[in-house]
Amino acid sequence: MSDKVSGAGDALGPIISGKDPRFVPTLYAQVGKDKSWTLDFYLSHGGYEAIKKAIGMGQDAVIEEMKKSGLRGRGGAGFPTGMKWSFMPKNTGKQHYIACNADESEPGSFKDRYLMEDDPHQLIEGMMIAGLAIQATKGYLYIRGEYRKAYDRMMQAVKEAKEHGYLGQNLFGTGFEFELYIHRGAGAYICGEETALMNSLEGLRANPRQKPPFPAQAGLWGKPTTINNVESLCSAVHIIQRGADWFASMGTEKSKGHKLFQVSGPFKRPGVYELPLGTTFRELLYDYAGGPTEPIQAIIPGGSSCPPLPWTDEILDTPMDYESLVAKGSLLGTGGVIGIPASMSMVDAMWNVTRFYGHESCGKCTPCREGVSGWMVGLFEKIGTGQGKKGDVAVLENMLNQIEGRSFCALADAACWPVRGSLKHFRDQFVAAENGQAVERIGSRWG
Amino acid sequence: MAKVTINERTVEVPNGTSVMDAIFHAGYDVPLFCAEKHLSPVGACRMCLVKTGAPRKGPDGNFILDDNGQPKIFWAPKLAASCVTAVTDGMSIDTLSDDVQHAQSGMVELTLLNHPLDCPTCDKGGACELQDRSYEYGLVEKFYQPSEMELPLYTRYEMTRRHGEKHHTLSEFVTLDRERCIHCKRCIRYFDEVPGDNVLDFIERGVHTFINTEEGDAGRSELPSNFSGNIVDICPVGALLDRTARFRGRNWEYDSVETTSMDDAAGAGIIADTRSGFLERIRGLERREVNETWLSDAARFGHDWVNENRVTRPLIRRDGRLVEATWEEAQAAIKSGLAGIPQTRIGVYLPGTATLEEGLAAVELTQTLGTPHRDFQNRTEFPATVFPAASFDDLLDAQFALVLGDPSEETPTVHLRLSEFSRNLKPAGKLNHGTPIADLNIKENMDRDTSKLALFSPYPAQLAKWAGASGTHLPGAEAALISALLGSGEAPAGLAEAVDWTKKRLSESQKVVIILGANVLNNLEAAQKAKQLAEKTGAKVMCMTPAANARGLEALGLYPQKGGASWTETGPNAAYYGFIPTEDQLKAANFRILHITHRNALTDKYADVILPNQTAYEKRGQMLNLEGRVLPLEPVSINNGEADGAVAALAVLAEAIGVKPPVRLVRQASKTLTEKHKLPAPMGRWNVKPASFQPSTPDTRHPTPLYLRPTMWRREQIVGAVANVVQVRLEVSPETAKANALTDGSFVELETPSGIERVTVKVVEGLPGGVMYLPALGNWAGRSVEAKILVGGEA
Repeated sequence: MSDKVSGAGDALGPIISGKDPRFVPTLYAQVGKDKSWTLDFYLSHGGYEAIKKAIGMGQDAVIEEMKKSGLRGRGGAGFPTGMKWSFMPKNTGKQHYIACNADESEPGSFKDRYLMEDDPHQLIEGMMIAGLAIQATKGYLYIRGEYRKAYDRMMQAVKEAKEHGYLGQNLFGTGFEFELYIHRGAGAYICGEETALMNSLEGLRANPRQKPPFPAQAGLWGKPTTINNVESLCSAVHIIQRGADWFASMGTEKSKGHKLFQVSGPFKRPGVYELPLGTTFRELLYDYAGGPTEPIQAIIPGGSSCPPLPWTDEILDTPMDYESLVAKGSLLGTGGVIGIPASMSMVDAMWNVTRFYGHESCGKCTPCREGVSGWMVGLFEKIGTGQGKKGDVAVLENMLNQIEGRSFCALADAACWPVRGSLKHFRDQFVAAENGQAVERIGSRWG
Repeated sequence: MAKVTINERTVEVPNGTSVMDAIFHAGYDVPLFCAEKHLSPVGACRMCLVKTGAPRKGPDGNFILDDNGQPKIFWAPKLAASCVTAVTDGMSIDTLSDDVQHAQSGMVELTLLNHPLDCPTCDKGGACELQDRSYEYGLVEKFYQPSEMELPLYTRYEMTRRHGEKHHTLSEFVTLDRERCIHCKRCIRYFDEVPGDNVLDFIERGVHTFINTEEGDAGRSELPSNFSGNIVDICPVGALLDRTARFRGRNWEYDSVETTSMDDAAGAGIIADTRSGFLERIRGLERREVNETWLSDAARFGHDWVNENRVTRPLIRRDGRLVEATWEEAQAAIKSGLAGIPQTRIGVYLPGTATLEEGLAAVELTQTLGTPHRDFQNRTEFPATVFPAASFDDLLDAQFALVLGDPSEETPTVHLRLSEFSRNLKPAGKLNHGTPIADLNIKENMDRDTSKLALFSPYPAQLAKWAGASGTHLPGAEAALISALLGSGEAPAGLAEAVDWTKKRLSESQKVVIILGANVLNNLEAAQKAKQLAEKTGAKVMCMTPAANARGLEALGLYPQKGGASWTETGPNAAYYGFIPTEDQLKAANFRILHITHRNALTDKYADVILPNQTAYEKRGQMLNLEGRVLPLEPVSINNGEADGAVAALAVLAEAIGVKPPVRLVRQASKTLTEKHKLPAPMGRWNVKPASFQPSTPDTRHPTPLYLRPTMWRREQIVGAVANVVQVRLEVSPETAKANALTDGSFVELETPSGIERVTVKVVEGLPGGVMYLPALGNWAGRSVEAKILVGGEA
């Protein structure tokens, strides 16, 4: 389609702004269109051509193309997708699996939802490409339990695809086979952790598993497995279709491509925006989201597990890519930007976040079960309800040291980072609360 | 081997060793709660965090060197849980730095947050891993000392603790305190991985996580497993406690003796805890070769009987009544009672739990007397010593195992070792000084390999779940079954497919282990066929004999000589019995010496002299388990009055008869065994020559047989809590019930070798028809007798 864009970035520099005329939205191009979830609609704009092209390229070339594109996992951790695929053993004679992590439960993230609701075939095709690259003939799509509509649309899409020969044996007469199964979660945030997701798929209690062995060695039912985010898999479709160079022409040196950014909080137009990596917060929040409707004191740049940053010009002019945010002491995460209004106490905001993580802790390891789920929640309640006393903030800070980096999986870390970030930038509010200043609680609350 | 440096101390350990074991091996300590070397490592408690580092290779392929020219250690950014991390060559481990100490003490603090400090009323107090670590890490100054001049804080946690159920009755034997639970998951992993009974799991999540049975609170309070007691041993805190021992004593008050369980032929190691002469508690002893550290519930909880209603003094019959007497008076009574009875007409019969020393005394005495009447209780018709014994290591090494019987009931330890076998685990590696190391190959939720096991039994067996082919056949159909496995004859009805699969697997496998139950060993024809099968396949054999020391007593020759009566037959005019025989046998003899621990109606009616006996717990000596392994018995101090073992009793008998006792003392017998019989030291295996035996009376066929199915529980154990668990019921199939006019739930009285029993009838779908099943409870296990129902009626 937009082949003219390919490689055109060289002379003018990389595309790092949504306003760059060379930038064309692809992932969300069909979202919101009438009947966009049907097979007919998908075929009408070149659907299932990428997988045919990929079959023609062959497994190794697909992985090479992915590596070349520089696509990094869009689930939050940012691990290069092509690299992940290349870790899969080859010709083991075992069943390989591709699992798609659609358990999008991070507060502030809602990009995958619309990909599944409005463009389900794009995800199916992405999973097929991944299946081809890692020799997986079976795929599992693990959908967050609350995403009922997405589940229905995906079920419908898989049914349609099967009926029309886009899933099953000997696809397109090439001998390629792929089966897709959809599993609906039961409402646990921990299932977004890849090994807990595998346990949940196997019918076990959703506790994370020990790594190593990594899923690529022994994943689902002990077989080699790769787990990717919805957005990563959807991006793979366009990388194959338009080439790695097109993808790499967007973004910064180490953060290539485009990404779905989500805006929530007091902004004029909250929602999902597809922009190249390296776009500034200012562009996203003012030019696209229309600017704040009330004074903002902090933004959480990538979903609730990322440390909040203060609402300053310096931060607003920071490009949104993996490295720039790490340099500022935060993370890109899933790209879910949450604005925290100045009228809200940071203590209250962090209390809400902590309570979420405390509720979602699986209870497997001590620091998360007792520390996050027990002590941190209790401390916030104590401080937040005006019962705090001097030294509580010091205990809270000490607690973060005791939990962070020592838990079994990253959930406890995810609970610690936002609190740590808040303490760094908004310590005065915590100290005020500790000294008995009541925290005003506003707005609807989680739980 | 991997070279690992732990705090400047370098040790060599096998590859695949966990960092934790390497630390222990180097002589350092690391705290742990969730790690248990027989279970899968999970890294959940985070107590064992240590700093790890490894050298790295540069682009030139050589190690990057530091200033001193040594490979530079790159320390990992995060601390690692040492129980789940495997060592690598050149690794460095730090357990002493501030980082590590802070992490570990912080984890103790977190673990203690919601743990009640009720140690003074907790049975685990004094033997609690959490208590020990709390003392060790408890008052770390940087947490609890606000400043130098202030007193330390009691706690920094100023919120209300989580509360939970304090006394949740999980089963008749185990109680759960949900407040004390620290969520180490050992019990859940144990049930899943070791016996394979998934009965416990975590419910809820986060700080609200608790343990419950699958049925939940609505279900019956029981743990449907023959091995539920082991969770008490492995619980690192006092959350799971032994109800039979609860509040009977503090840990420091017990006298603990390491001995061997005589409850079955496996010879599991036990620690017997006594207080003031009462046996209060039994715990598992780590005996890696045999039971690892696991016990069956019968071996663990079935001990209350030894404290109650013991025969503590000799009794002699005077004017028709049994009256208490001294050993001298008893000897005089035996002397006068035996007057006129030829020495060759005196029989000596030992219990199946007799030690090798006692067996030697019995054999030598009967040889001195020249009597052919000697035997031991529950000896099988076909001797176990004829088969080459397989060890448990052989079993783990085997490619295929054929089970004919029900290991879960006959010798529960075999069930546990078959569990490892079905998970393809190999015998655990050892450090160079012999300490076994944790096996990191054990994983949570491992698949069971069903292609390695076939199981056939006369009663539905639990282990059929791990068998690729299995089936239930009529008692007595064993010979036909084994013939079919040998390739001659038809398989019993309904088993053709399973037999074909087993035959195929047997022919494909190089290393085979055959496990025989009492039903095969008591059926001469079947046992002979089993011998042929073992020879044909080159298999080693494990015999699950009903008598614990069967292999040892057979090896010493304690079976009837030519013309002698076996333990089930009448014959001798006067007899010494170490157990209570059948009424017919008691009736047939003119003079009966019973050397027993407990009296019953039969003994009071027939005994001429009763001598107080020791239980297996009180004996010193040795036994031979089903592997042929010599295992030691140490005496546990239990109040037993003047009770003495068979060695002493047989010496008394010899003197009463007027011959010189060949053996007077246990240690003398042990010496003879070592010197004359070349018995190896404990834990060694005794390669005994096959017993020469004469086939006794063949199995009689009964119109409706009563099959005494082997059970792990023995009759004497059924007191106290055990009585609420063991259900003695006459089980029949619906057709058999109809044919014999039995209804579900009705009471019947029937004649059994142990006397007349009053039991309820239970109609069970799927049982073979034409046969009635009664739990053997230790006596006559695996044998069929004629079913004689005396009284039947509605409940």
